[in-house]
Amino acid sequence: MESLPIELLRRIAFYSPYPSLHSLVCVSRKLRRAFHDWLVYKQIIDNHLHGYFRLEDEKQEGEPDFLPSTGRIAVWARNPIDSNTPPELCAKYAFADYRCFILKRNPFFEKEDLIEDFAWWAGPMVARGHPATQLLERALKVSQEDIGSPTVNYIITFCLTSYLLSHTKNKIYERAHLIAPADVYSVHWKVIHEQWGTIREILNSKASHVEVKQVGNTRRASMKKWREMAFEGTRLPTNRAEIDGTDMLVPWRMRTVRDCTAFSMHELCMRSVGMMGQEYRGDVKKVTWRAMGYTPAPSGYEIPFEKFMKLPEPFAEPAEFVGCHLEKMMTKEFIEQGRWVGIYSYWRPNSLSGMSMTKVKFRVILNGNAGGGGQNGVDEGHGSVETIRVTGCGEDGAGSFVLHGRMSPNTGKMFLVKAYSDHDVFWDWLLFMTPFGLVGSCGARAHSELVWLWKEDWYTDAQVNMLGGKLLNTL
Amino acid sequence: MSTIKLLSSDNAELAVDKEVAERSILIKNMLEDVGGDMSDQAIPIPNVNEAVLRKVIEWCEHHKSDPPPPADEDSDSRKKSTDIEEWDQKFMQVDQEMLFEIILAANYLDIKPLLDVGCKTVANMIKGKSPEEIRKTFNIQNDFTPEEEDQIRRENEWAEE
Repeated sequence: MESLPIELLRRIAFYSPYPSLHSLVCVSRKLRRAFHDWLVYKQIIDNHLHGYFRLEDEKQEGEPDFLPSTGRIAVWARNPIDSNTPPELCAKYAFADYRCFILKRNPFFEKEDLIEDFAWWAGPMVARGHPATQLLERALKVSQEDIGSPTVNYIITFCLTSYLLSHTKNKIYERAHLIAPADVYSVHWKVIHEQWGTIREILNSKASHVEVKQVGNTRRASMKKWREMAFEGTRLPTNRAEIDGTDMLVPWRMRTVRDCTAFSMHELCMRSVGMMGQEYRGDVKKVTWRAMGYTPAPSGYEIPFEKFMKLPEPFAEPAEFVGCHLEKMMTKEFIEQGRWVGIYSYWRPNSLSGMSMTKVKFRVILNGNAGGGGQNGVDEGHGSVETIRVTGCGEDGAGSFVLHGRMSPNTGKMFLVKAYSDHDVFWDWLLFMTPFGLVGSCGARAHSELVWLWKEDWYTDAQVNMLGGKLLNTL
Repeated sequence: MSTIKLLSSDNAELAVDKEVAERSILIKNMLEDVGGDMSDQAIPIPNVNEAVLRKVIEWCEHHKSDPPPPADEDSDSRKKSTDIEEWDQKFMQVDQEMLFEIILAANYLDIKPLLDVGCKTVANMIKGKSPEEIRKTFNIQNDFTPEEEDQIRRENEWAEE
């Protein structure tokens, strides 16, 4: 075999799924030179070799090695491999690509160790819009017992939310329940409503405590507003021990303020996006959305996550994926650049309705002294948490509005007051910056609605990937 | 039907139907260049010996009525045929030396479908094998230094957890 020139060896690679390549690059120097190359890895990914590849144990006697192709699968539009990518990293993407495709065909996927395995590569692949994301639906039939770790739970939540945003099919609600039982990923609007309600209650009850302070000779009583409390902790946990060491696996079983951590709030916010994605998208086509004056929510394939998430490499420690969006997304540059659009919802007796918001602009005030802030606009009055002043404006069906409040870069929290220019209604917004944008609850007292804002420029030409996904379903 | 003659590297002259020989894009282009009539002169195929050339002609005979391969290298139809049809599988049951000779000849003669059948056959021989098994199968020397082996092992740690 070594007598073949490199270009012919690479032709053999064209038909060699990742496990073969992995062996080949360990055989000899010449074979390593031929196969351990970005072009080879990119080629097997772009040709969807793994999409057609038949696993040894699913092959009947005498059956071919590859599944018959039933249609064109689109190229992974955001395949990050180019000539500057180190071969080791290319190999990781090729292996992750292989894992994506064999996902739904693996009969043992329910087992805990395979869920764990999923967490090692799925986040970065889904965030880069890998077409096999569409296979998640059939793959992720997990239950709470299968997931031993809040880190894994977070990654599954991210992947499923992205998946739900990408689907425009009818009855997606039922489909969502096919994906994962409610104890892992509940996106029923009633459940989400309840969970946000509980959080409001918890925070309100805490805030109703009258704080008595001794100021000089007098004792002053003050009411603390819940939105001003740093209830969510000082930062999002960043390593596996820290995340998994806490009891955050079922974030919606929150009972006390202590349970409303930044981590559990992020989980709930992402699930809320998944729910809104399916409720608002449902069977409504984008065209209809526009005709109704709405801006359609971007699909999971459209959102260019890799632009603002510091994505770990596939097979890096999964905990690196948790919160890897905050570093960029909580900066002045990111929040101020471009316009945001979004929706706020109001609950109906049996469903959820939405209102569109447009032309939302933010200003992050790093140097302002207003609001009793310390130096550089960093306010120490908000517990021990660093907060930064934020203002904004926008428009919705009820008129134009202004926003003002604060954000905590380390936890992703943003609390804002929304005030309309020409009528006297104020809304409290409690948002968290998730990879899907700003998500949270808005309300006036007991009222609790949902808000979701995303960037106007998140719409890209995702047709290629969407097409790929559709045809994949026939595989 | 016109016949042409091919001259192998070991000077054997083989007569072939023109239609069959034209499965080779190299020969087809060559015939077009000289205006088609090569009935009295053998076309030299300096890179391919008689045994291999006979094998290649056998393949071309069997596949003479196949539709021509698409001009576009990366077109879909090529990808779709990731499997080897039964006749080709039997055809490729030859010793390794012959297999690689066929691949080289198919490449030289520019017979894409045969080249792909050859490459798929090799790929199938590799499938499911460890590096050591590949070395045994293809009689390849492990020429990595212990340091290089160590380096490779370290690079692969992520995949073995």
